[in-house]
Amino acid sequence: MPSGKQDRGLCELYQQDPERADKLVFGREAHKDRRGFLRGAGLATMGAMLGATIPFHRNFPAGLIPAAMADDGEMALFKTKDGLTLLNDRPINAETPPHLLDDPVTPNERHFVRNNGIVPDIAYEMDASDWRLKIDGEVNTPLEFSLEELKSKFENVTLKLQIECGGNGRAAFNPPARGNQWTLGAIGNAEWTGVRYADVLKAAGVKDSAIYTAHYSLDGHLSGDPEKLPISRGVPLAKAMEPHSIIAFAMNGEPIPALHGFPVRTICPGWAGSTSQKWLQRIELRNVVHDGPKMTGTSYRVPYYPVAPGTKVDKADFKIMEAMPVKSLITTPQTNQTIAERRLALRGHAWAGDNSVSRVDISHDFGATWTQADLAPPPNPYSWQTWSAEVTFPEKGYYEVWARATDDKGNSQPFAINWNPKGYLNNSMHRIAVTVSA
Amino acid sequence: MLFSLERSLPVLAFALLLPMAGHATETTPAPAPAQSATAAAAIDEDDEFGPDWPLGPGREDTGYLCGACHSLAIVKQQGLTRGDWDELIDWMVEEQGMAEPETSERDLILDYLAEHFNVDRVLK
Repeated sequence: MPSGKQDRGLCELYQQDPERADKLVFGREAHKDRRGFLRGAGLATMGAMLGATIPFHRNFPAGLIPAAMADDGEMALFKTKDGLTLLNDRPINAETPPHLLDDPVTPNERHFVRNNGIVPDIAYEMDASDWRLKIDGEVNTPLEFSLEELKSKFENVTLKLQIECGGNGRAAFNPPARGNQWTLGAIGNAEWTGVRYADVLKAAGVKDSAIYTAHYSLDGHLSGDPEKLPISRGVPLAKAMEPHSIIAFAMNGEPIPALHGFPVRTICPGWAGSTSQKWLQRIELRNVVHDGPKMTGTSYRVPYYPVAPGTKVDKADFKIMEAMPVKSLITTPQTNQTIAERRLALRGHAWAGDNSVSRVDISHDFGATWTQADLAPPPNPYSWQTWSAEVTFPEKGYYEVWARATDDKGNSQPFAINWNPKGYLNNSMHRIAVTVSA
Repeated sequence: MLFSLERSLPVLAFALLLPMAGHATETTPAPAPAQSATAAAAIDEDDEFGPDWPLGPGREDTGYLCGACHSLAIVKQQGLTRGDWDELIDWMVEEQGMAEPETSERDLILDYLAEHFNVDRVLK
């Protein structure tokens, strides 16, 4: 039973300006007779979203929301995604199968989605004219910016930045840990454009008393209570001042899609994805560690000492997760393929939180021997790095290819999971299955 | 099973009864299948909780309570002991604005969750 708020989304967009909605949602323009698809623009997109071709497309009225999508709410937004695995439909949580993450820069339609609340109306409308970003708290001068002011007052930076959900890999925990059961694909590396988080804070004047930031956003709480925030996280001041932490307004050259945080979001790359907060409207500088929803208790926290699987840990013994650990994916080939040749080209990416990746090694004999892969430098810090390798299998049979990345501080990926009660930080090695048939 | 034996007794009782005879489901608010061995297949495709929301005592209460705010898709992914489900209900009440269920309803719901979504669940 979707809430009324969700139901409005796409329909509201169509009610306000149907032809603009055509353009925004599908890239569609109609012929002069207000029917069809001028030069075919938007026809393929609409067909893909509906899952079928439209034989009578020349008759399709302009500004008419396809009936199949008329009351779909957030699921209509999800239909812009390509091949993602939907874990949860309210709120939307979806991950990308590793073989669909092969691109060096993750396209919007293949970037994972981890939402805690209800996508706000502004993101459906894609209209920021009434939106302002407020900067307040421990600053000398509280400030407020429109989207145009934010873009024009500060230097714009474009960076490829990796964002990984803190719970990526949770599905492999035993005993299970609660939350979305992410397998491998809650990681993305899009090209983000925005302004430096530091520049905005400096403009307001950071007081000596400021130690932590607090992000406040427009998404709605699932209970429908307008007083409740689904999530409000932040970062230590030093992370906010790091030159690759940004307040982004574009994703891969386009306004940030509704599911990803229109009109602006923070990107605190390399840290648990929840610090990269969507639909941002206010940043408060605080003189204490921020205590908003999902900052406290056991949310995005791990015990500060290792524990045996299944251990009950006192809440006082949890610490806030910060940087994500070194990790890699094999994105070519897809797992579970049968090949007729002995030689196999492999490709993937590796990333390492605040660090850089110094090497990636590949094994095709269950970890007995390892071969170093070719590893490209990152296009900029905090981007994932692409690696490639080739293996030759000695005879036909079942093989596994394992990938293991090592960062510049000497940390490598483990084979086993460092179990923790809430299922975070699983950076165990990615394994794929390959059967050689001849 | 990691949850305490004392609290799990009702769960075990249902677990034993259900596969044995269709009449064991007479106490459930959900439609009782003629053959319990094919219970999952007996749920209508248009069922409001979905065909993969397991049959059993507490099905409706749990579906309505959990599904009021979020999708049951998140519930179906979980594998928790009865004790962990109990803590999760506390968290929903204290932090997420869920109405506190009456004791008898809470027990029914905990039994249902611990029966169908325990640590031995298999992810689909």
